[in-house]
Amino acid sequence: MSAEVTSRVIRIALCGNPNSGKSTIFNYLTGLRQKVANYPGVTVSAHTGNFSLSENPDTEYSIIDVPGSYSLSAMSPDEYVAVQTLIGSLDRDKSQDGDPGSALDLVLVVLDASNLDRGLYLLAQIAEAGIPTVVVLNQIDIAERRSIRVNENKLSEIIGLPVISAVAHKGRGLDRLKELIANHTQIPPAKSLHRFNTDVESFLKEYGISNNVNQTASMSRPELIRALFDRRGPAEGRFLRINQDHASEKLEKLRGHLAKEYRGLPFAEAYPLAKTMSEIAEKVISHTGKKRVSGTDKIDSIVLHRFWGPLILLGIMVIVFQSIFTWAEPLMNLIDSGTSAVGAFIGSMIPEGALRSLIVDGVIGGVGSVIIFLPQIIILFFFLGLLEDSGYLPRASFIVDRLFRWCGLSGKSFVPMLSSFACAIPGIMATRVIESRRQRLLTILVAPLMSCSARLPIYAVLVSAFIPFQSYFGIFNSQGLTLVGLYALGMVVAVIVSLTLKATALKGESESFVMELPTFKAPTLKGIWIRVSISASAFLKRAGTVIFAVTIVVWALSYYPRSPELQSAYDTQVAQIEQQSAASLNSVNNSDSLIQVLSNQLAGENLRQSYIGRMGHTLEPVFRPLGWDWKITIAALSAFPAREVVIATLGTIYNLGKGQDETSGSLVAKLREATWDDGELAGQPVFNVAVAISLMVFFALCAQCGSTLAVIQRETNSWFWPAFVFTYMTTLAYLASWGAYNLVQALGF
Amino acid sequence: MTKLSNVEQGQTVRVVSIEESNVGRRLVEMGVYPGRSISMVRRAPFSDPIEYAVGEACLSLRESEADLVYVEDV
Repeated sequence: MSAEVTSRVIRIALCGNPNSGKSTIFNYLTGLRQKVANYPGVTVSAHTGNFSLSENPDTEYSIIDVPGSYSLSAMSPDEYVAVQTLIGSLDRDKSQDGDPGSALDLVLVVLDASNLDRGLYLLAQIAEAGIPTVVVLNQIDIAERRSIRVNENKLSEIIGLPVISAVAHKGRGLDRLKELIANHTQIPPAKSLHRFNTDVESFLKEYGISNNVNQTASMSRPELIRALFDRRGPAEGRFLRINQDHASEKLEKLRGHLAKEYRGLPFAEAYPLAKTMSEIAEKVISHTGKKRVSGTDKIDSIVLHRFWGPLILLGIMVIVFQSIFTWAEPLMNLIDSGTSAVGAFIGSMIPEGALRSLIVDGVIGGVGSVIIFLPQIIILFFFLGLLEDSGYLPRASFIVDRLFRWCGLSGKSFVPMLSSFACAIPGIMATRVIESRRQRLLTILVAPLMSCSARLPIYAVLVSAFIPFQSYFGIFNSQGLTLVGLYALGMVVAVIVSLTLKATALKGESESFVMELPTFKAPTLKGIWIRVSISASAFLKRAGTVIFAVTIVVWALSYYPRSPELQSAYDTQVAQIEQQSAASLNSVNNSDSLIQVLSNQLAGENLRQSYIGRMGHTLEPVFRPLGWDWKITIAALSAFPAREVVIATLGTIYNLGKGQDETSGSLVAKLREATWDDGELAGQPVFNVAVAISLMVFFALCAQCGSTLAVIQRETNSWFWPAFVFTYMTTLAYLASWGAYNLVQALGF
Repeated sequence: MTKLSNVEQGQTVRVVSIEESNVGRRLVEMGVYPGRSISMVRRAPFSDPIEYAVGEACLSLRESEADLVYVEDV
């Protein structure tokens, strides 16, 4: 291999039907060296990754996991990405990772051995691009269990491309794949596997590259195929821009003929292609025995059972959410005492003053109170990974479709909505699999109402601090039920919003719901581990950047300006007390507590006249009807970049509002001790059940998450929708919070 | 000839034609096209959608989508 070739990055695209085991191969090749654009969880965006091979240590390979699809016809934005990646020359979307527009060196097409004809259909469309292509015949173990054997050599001969039999999740066949990738220059470019009828072929020839004078502006064969068959698709637009004269009439005339002959234009491509591919499949498949009842059929007869199916789904959801709380607790306590110890240790090393306050109150207090939720995030993504990899999630969609339709959504909204319980960002990105734009938009608009893991810290702290523990019937308790209530609140509001939108702004006809129910597979530890570690590191990255930055800003705003007069007045008073106590030796304890009171007063006074204190006092009247003091107001407002910041801010503010010796206490204790520092309630506790519920309800419904709004902007390609989401959610949050506060008070808590 | 949505549980039929629509195209891509055998596996717990088996794949179609496919007895 020449030096010129080895010095650059080899670009590979990975394609295949959904459920063909494509992601497993992607994970196998890249490991943790993959980019998911900062968003954790199940997504359908074009993931990219890098790897190198021991056979070829100097060469860097970059691979794009092309979103799972059945064909290159672009019915949804999801499939459009696939077209862009492979055909390359369509209008390039620069916001996509890894620039799918640039030239590919190699394409890997993964075929499910049990569903060969369907995979070949996609392969035939990809082959039109003429890129060197390797075919991975995957899941031959499942096929064998169904008595299906595919003749790998014969298939390779017919399609003219190298074919590798594999069982990707067990690593079988993947060494050979690596060998072929290492020698990718020897792989032949793919040739067309299918000839259309003469009318189509002469159209493709007439407008194809070789016959066009202006070569740079002309279209390749695969692009022309898309321009012809995808009415109003992106390729059609380009065709009409490039070819003037009579091209438009010619296109429509041919389309008219085809539509008549095949009773529908799309079928003019689909029927002949499907037929050719099933003929190829027939030639290479042999049935080795009678078809047996597979494990999947047996499992399905239980999990899709009329009665047991929904119950099992409900049970799984209960188990997932229950585990998030019970399993995480010991780990969270460990992290809590760890950060407290670090804070106390570092605090003792640095002399008192601004630096110590910044590090102990600001950084450790603020970021520490967010990092504590890492165990819950890990457990949530562990379960989501388990459900996704096993093949259960599409079944859940199948079960709930009818119910979701009553709510104005569809079963396809189930995965986005469920993911939104982890984080609305992967949830919103997962809506790309919803073909209908209207349905997709609806899901995007209500997904942020699902209680995401960033709300969990708020619920967890406030519930354990202020909801009195009471047990009912031995299995339920008041704290758990409050939590369930908060999750339910988000869901109920989502249904109301979705039905309202569907009846008004987003009116339209019903949508398609064709979906595959894949074979059940045992999830592998490695696959789950990669999912969990990617989401955990994304969370830590957020804690280390956005939350860290906000924490520092909040700390600075609440530390400065410092008034020297206050400090000197305090020093004088302390000196006086110490003199008096030195005179009368028996009152040492008394003087210590006096000094403590003074130091608390000083801290409170400092905070009140800080920048944040002034802002808070100005805004307090707006949030007073919700039962909030100015500190809660500030904490809630500062949480705009990310909800969990409210906890970090409360940690910082209430730390600063205390005497310096009390910084090591837990946040729960600090909130319990917080008192009103002026007004008619002065001296009384700020937090009670009503205030805690008011704050939690507000956070259940508000849109305090800059990243979510940013991702809505990107996915809808409009500023209107994020503004809409922010407005409606904040309004609902304020009203519901006000209602809840007054209701709880009226009930006498 | 009847509509796919009328096929009863456990019954196997052959696809005759599909009404033109985006759903129709997607069905062809997923292996449902004239000449293929298709059998009805079960209805979802709340009666809709319906699961069908085509070749080795199991597909979920809403009743309204199964209405687009015309089938005949094998």
